[in-house]
Amino acid sequence: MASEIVSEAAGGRLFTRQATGLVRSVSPLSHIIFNTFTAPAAFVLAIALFWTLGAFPGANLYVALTLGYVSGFIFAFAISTVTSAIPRSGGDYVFVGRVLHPIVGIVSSFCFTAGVLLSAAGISLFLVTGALAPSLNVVGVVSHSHTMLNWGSTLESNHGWQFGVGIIFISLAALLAASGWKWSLRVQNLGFVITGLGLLVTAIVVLVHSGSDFVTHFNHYANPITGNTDSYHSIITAAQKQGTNVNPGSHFANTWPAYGAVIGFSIYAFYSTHIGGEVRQAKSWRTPIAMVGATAINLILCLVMTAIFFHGFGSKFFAAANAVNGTKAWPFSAPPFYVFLSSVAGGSAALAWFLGISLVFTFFVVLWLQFVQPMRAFFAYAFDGVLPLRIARVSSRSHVPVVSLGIVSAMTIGLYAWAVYGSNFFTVYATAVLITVVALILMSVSVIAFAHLRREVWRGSVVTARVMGIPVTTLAGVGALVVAVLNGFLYLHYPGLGITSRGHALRNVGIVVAAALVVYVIADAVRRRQGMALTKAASEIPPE
Amino acid sequence: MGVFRRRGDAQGLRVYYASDVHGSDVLWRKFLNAAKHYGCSHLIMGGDLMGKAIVPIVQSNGSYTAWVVGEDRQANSREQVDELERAIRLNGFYPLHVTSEEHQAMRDDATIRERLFARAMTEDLERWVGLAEERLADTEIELFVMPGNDDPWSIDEVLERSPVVNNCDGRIVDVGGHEMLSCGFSNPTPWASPRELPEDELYEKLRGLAGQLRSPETAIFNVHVPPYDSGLDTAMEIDGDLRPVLKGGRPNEIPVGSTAVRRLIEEFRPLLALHGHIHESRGITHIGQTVAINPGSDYSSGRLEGCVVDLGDDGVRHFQLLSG
Repeated sequence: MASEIVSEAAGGRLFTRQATGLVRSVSPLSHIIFNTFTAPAAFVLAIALFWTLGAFPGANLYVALTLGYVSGFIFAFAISTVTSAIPRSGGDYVFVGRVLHPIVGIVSSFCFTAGVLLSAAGISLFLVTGALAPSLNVVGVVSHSHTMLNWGSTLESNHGWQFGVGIIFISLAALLAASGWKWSLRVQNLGFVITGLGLLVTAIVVLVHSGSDFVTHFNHYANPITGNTDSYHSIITAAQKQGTNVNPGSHFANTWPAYGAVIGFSIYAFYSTHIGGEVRQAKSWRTPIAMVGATAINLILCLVMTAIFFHGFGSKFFAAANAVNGTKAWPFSAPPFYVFLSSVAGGSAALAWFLGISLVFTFFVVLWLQFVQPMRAFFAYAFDGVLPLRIARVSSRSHVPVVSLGIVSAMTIGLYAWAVYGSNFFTVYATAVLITVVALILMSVSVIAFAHLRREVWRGSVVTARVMGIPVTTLAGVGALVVAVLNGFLYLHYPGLGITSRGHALRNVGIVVAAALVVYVIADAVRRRQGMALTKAASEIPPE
Repeated sequence: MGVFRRRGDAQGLRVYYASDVHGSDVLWRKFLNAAKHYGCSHLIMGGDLMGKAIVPIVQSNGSYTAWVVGEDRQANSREQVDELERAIRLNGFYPLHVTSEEHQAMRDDATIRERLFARAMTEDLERWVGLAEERLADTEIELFVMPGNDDPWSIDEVLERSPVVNNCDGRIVDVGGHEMLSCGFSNPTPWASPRELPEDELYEKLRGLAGQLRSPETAIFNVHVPPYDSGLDTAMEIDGDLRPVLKGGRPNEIPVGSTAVRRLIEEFRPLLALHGHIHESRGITHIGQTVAINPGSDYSSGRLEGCVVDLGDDGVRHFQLLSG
């Protein structure tokens, strides 16, 4: 008999023998960064901040951002309690299926996957028309380059170019997702650094050139275009004349839809639940920390940057510029995004280039993130017999999951075509949010039920504390359910958030849920013919 | 009509395969029940039965303290202690009751902790074998169990003693009319586990076993380590100090399976090849005509990763990865 080598670990609280170990790909740091990219500050500032300033004038953005990210904390913590107990790639498909029922897991996963695919289409469109085109315009304006301005305005207005350039980004994101963690995490972490540097540089420039200095810089740049020596105040006057409330924080009723705009992004920091099986030390407190921590990082950055923008550009001007964007009162080629205003404040083409690249890179990483979940979901469906096994086929030469990659790419491109030619970013994104709400509700219910229906697994997990006899997991699940329902209510109640036809939106939700049920029923029939009902295959073997 | 053709009929053979339960009590119990649950006639456990760690439950001043999933937990009643033990076992560890003095002795003396570890493993396996005898003795279900590379040699004796458990390691056995070759050894790992062989010696060992097969083309290869570069063997590269090898700042993923096993499958082209060892590389692939499966392992989750395979004379009729 060979002698066992037994070592002490964890300060003598554990003794391990020498045996094969399992090393997972995603480190704790990469885990947090991964979750920050569900709603990175640059992304939220570029979309939610400017969107809400224009669509919901007078909203208190500090309150909206804080409420949005506090909702994010609640949801992230709730999902983390189950993820740290059942850290499996497949996320909601696995834990909702195991806690409630496999068919509920399929419905949840189909809704989440559909939401993510729609988001991928919407984000691709915004990447082209909201990040790349304005960045080219900003560079053109600041550096007086007609070529850049032409490219920027062409991308903003020409659907063919939008589609073509979007396909390039989608293809690059798909290839990155298929390349495995090594390259994906390199790009992700590089993106985190570039995004952070972009925000840091923006903050420094805006703080250095704040107040009257910014007014002078802005008027200097605007004068050749407007012929007005005080364009800054003219824009505020124009907004007031068209009836816009240019005092952020003065209209509380508009803060609710602004909160809705933020919550559409801010509650997905639990996204790493879909890669739970690939994360190191996922069965520890590191999972809640990575999810809640990512939300905290994004909240702090958003609040700080919003305060800096209001201080630097002037809150009235900032609100007015976004309100008149798209009208004659804003005659500039670039929209009043922070990239443009910061570049004007800094007065440097190099700065405009850097901030533009930083924003585009941020959006690209967010787009890559959209491929991570669907590819794993299709894999999980195939492994479980819900879809044909060939969908999980991996190229023996390149180790690329060719079939699932092809399916996800084709679906994204199809939805992107609809986004470009038949819709707009906000409608696509709002539709995605609404479909995802179904998954969020089912996930919340499974968190509530987890400690009661999977008692042994819950006992062996990290979050076993109780408050007044009720498991913290259950309480967190109730909080998450409230957040999920509120999320759905806000998007259905406020058309300004993108849902202009409730009937159509609810029909779309119904189609996805029905598709999940139909797929399950067909798969079950096929598997029964093969001798193993799907319900049986997905059910837990009784241990006793 | 392909997809709607009835398969897995009564004339075929249905086997259930799982591997790498690593001391998880609940997984072993589920494994024993899997045949009934999935309607299988044969159960095959592909190695790495034993746990990797013991967690001392230290008794002091009437209360009990143990380290569970990264935190200290205290128990003050019998019920709470039972709960503590269950949580430890669910995660694949062995709970061990000790006093503060015994705990300190374990920390100070390597011989003591090795002895206690060996005893914990043996006692648990004896309990497992007893459970198998209790559940399967009066059934038609045949149970095949082999140790894996991580299992100490002491467990062979426990397996051999049982009239119900067929320790198939290093043998050719009959599984419903199909010959099954079994081998729990692996190629060398950075952990220097108990049952490892250099690739050439592993090939010679496997080749010697395969030479005993009457009909290799209808055989099952139950070999713990998966074939090299098959997609069933992808893991992080580890250096001599058991740290992940970083390339460009990222852990490097490489195939870590056995070239000997791959060569053997390519030479003998069995019907089915069943593997474990690389927990994170769950999947199904084809090597020539051979269907090769690694159901993976997630032993600390309480779910048993396994697969059901329907075999006929004409080949593998159907296979399904399962998470029970």
